[in-house]
Amino acid sequence: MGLKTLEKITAALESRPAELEQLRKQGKKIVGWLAYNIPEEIIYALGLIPIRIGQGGDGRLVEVGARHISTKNCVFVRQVLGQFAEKTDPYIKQLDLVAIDATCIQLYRLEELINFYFDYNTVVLGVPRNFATKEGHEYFRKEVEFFTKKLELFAGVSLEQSRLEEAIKIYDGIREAIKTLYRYQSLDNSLLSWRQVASVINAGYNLDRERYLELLQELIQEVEANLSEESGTREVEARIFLSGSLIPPGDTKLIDIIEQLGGRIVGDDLWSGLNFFLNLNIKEPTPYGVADAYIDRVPHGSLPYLDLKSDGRLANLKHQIKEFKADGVVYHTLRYCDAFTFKAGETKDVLGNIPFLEIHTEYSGSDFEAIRTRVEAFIEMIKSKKEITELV
Amino acid sequence: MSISGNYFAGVDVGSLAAKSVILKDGEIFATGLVPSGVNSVESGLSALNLALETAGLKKEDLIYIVGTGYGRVSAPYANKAVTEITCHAKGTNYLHPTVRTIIDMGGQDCKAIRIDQDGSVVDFAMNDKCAAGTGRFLEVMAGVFKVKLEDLGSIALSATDTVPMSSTCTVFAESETISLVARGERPENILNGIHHSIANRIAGLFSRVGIESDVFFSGGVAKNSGMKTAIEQALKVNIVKPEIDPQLIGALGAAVIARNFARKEGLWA
Amino acid sequence: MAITAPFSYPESIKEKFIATPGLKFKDGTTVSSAEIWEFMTKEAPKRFPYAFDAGANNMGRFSDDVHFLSGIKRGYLTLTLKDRVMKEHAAGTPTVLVQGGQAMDAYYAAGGIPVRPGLVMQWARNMHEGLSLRQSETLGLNILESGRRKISIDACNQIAAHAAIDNKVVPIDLIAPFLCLRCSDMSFLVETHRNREHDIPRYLVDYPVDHENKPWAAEYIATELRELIAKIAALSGRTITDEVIFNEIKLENRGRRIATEIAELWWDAENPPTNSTDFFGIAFLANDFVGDPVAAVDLLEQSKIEIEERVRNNVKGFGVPDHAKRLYICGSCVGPNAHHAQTAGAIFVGRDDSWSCISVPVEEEGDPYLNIAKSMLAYPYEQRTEKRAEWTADQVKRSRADGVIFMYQWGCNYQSGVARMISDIVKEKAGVVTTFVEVGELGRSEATEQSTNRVEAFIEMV
Repeated sequence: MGLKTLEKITAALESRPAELEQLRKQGKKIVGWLAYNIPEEIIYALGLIPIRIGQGGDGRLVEVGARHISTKNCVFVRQVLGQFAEKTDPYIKQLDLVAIDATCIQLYRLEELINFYFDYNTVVLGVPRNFATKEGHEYFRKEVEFFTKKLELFAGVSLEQSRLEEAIKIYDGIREAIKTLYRYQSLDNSLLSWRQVASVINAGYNLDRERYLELLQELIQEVEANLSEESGTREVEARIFLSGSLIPPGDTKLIDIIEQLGGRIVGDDLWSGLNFFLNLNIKEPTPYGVADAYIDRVPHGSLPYLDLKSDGRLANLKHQIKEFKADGVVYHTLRYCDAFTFKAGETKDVLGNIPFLEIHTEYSGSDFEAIRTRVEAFIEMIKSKKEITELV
Repeated sequence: MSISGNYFAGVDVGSLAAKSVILKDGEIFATGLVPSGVNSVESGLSALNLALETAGLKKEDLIYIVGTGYGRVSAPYANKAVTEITCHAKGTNYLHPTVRTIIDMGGQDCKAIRIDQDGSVVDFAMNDKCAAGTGRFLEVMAGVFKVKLEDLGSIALSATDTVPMSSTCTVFAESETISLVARGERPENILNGIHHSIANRIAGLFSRVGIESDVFFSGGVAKNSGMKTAIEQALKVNIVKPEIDPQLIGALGAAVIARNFARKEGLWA
Repeated sequence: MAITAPFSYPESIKEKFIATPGLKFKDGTTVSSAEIWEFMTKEAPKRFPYAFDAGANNMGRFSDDVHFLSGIKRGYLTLTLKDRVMKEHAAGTPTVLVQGGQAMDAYYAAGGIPVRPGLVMQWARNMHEGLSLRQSETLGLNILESGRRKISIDACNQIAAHAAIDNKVVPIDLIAPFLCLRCSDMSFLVETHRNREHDIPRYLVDYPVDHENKPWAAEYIATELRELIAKIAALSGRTITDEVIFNEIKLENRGRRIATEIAELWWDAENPPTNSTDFFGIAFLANDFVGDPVAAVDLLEQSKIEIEERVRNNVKGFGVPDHAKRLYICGSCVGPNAHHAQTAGAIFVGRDDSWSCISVPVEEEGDPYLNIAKSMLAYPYEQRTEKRAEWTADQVKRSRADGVIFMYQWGCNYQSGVARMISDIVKEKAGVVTTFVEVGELGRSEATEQSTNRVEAFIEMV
């Protein structure tokens, strides 16, 4: 028995591009945005429609994008560039403005290229590398304030505090709901899988936010109503935690492989996944308040942090692995995503004894078999550790 | 079933060769090694049939067969498929129970494997794409110098110098080699550089998993004496002498695992 | 490999050379030209034979234009870097890892010696003396490999410097670069030091992106500069006042100004008065200062006098081909081999990276921290790419270049990302042919066929 609400979400997604077309005809403007530190609440509060853009997994689009950048750049950046080059994506072709933050410097380059080669209006939000310092906070406050002014000009309205308060409420609701869904998917007696939660998150990038929140709440109710009585006596499974570079919509290679080989993904600390929804507490409904809250969340791996012991991202990773009772960590790194690739060895050291596999890959299918072998060996390793009777 | 023993087989189909090992009750009874063709099912069967022929057995005489290597995904003759990482671990442990670290270099990848006293995999790392650290690289170089692959090692060992190899790409390294020859560099010195370059890639894998003695070198490339020396220098270890052809270790491990599966499933006591 | 006779300075120029002024250093000491000659003809060839390898593949090869006497002195500064830095370090001067292409004023003002990754590697290789070129390159490659092993094969060559520090090949007291836009990896490489046994303190001077018309960007950097200078001064023991910082700024501004004046002279000359190696050395001196801004500025003044004289007498640099094709080079950390290019009929007339650094003086009054911050933010190389490209196009026109080569390293996510866009804009605005070349060679003097091929083909095309 499938979860009915998931079908509703799929249906909502299918009709969304047409819906956006209608809204644009009514004078509404669409802002495509990426990635971790863009304050979506502000976009929403100004009456603009935020759509998070960017897909992965398409080797052909990567090649198209690479013509405008280089083959030495992150595959996700190349593919997004390819999407803008072709303009066949139903969201990309309806964007009135593209807002990109400079958390990841390669994404900042993306903004420049989109602006230059494909004639989109763009706006950049600067992000401090020294995000934990007082001056870093000051800088980010000014950046968010400037960003807000630019959006106000674009929207033709000023930001009203009451509208921002409303937006924060909706987004807080979304964040809580996603956290709840994550808890359920890791249980043995719920119908919900990690993969389904990932697809729900991806859907949320495009849907109307109020409607999305309603759907999320419906989904939670449905999941709770369908929790099975048995406490779960599943056969020995390998509970896998995903970490590393983002896994955007459309990039399913690694997930497919893990699941085909009998691994079960039970959690992640991806910036495109759970981390995005954690620890965001907007205390004041102002651009400064929003800025402080965003920069104080679980840090993004692209922002350097110079002290290992107090690194918030690693602390969160360790915590989540325990929370989700993971047996092993698959650390997924995209080629030329130096932020996460360079930290693979360190992450392994920090996590200690838990089985750890790095998968360094890109969007072509040519390494499918190679990844299969690695993941399969990893799952064999985990299972043989877990089984009471010897497997081999 | 033959009344004179219990037989188990492992079949390892790789990118360059298909290998098979038959165990009789626990002892190595027969082996087979053939070059891999495009059809991995046929390659696996050829290797298995060769071993059966040598043993004077028929396929029905085998209690259990485990397939491994890249060809394991299409091995209809096998009861089960297990990755070559796990098989190399078991195979090495079977012959050399003191080994705790395995370096495996096959046709298209190289692996660093840490194992425990029972031959279970404790940790492993494998090369990423385009890291020029595989048997294929050596094959290409043998072609460039028009020498036999099996002679590469001894040629490298006769070098008086090491020409550093620059490229991170096998294809580019080929053109670099040609230009070095044109500049008057001696082939043995270039080959020495190539071996050291590959050893560096291997050493990179070990920075992730660490090394513990004893150390074993498996896979086809292990037969290359120059490679063995370069790796010993890069990792600062001594590699144990293999009891059998190191290219057969994966198939041996698969056969050991076949025996264990058979016992677990009650097919053999 | 064909044995080439090592490079040496001929006796015939000795008399002229030792009649020229020597060099002054920041500690007040001086060295005479006679002493420089002694070093460059007797001592250095024994200690650093690799530097005297005359093979065309030697990227660091001395200029063949031995009559350009300032070039010999620049070689002296390069080869004595290790001795000078080690001596100062032993006396308590802190060494600081920085980035290439950033302002050095703050570091010297605070009493430190900033060392960029390229110089760290040169210093590291010089810790072993008596090495041939191959031996020296192999040593460098081994350090590079050790870095890649620990971190990733995807890293650019800069990782070698971090490995040299990590492996304690050279003593570095503080890792504190600016995070300019030019480099994708510096922040992540500095970060890797947090998982090491050594506990060298580290600090990043963040460089905000998209900073036009944003006064808070300069304020952010200025606050960080205060922190940076305080950290270095705590190690050096120097008392920092605004005056101390301004003195350093004024000195380095002088160097920038002289280098810019030399560039203008050189570009306007009918015949290039020096070859590429000597010309690029000018901009380099005015940004890097090779451990001693007093000596570097002194040498720049001497260089200007020599070049002025050459231009007056319409002297062409030795080895510069007749009707040389003029190429402008873009990109950081890697460049085409000037000797190969010369043989193929080309001369390099400018480099965006270095020229950007020398083109922006620091204001000499007011708040020195804010002034350094503003100057960094004004570097043409560090602007939004479209603006950077427009400046590059102006440079190309000013230098009368016939073509542009944009080179970037394997593993560089940044310069690789903008190469195409800059090439397209320059092609359109300056009307010259452009190309971009990725350099994937781990070392630099061996097996460079791939890059050399592409560069020579481009030169033929121009």
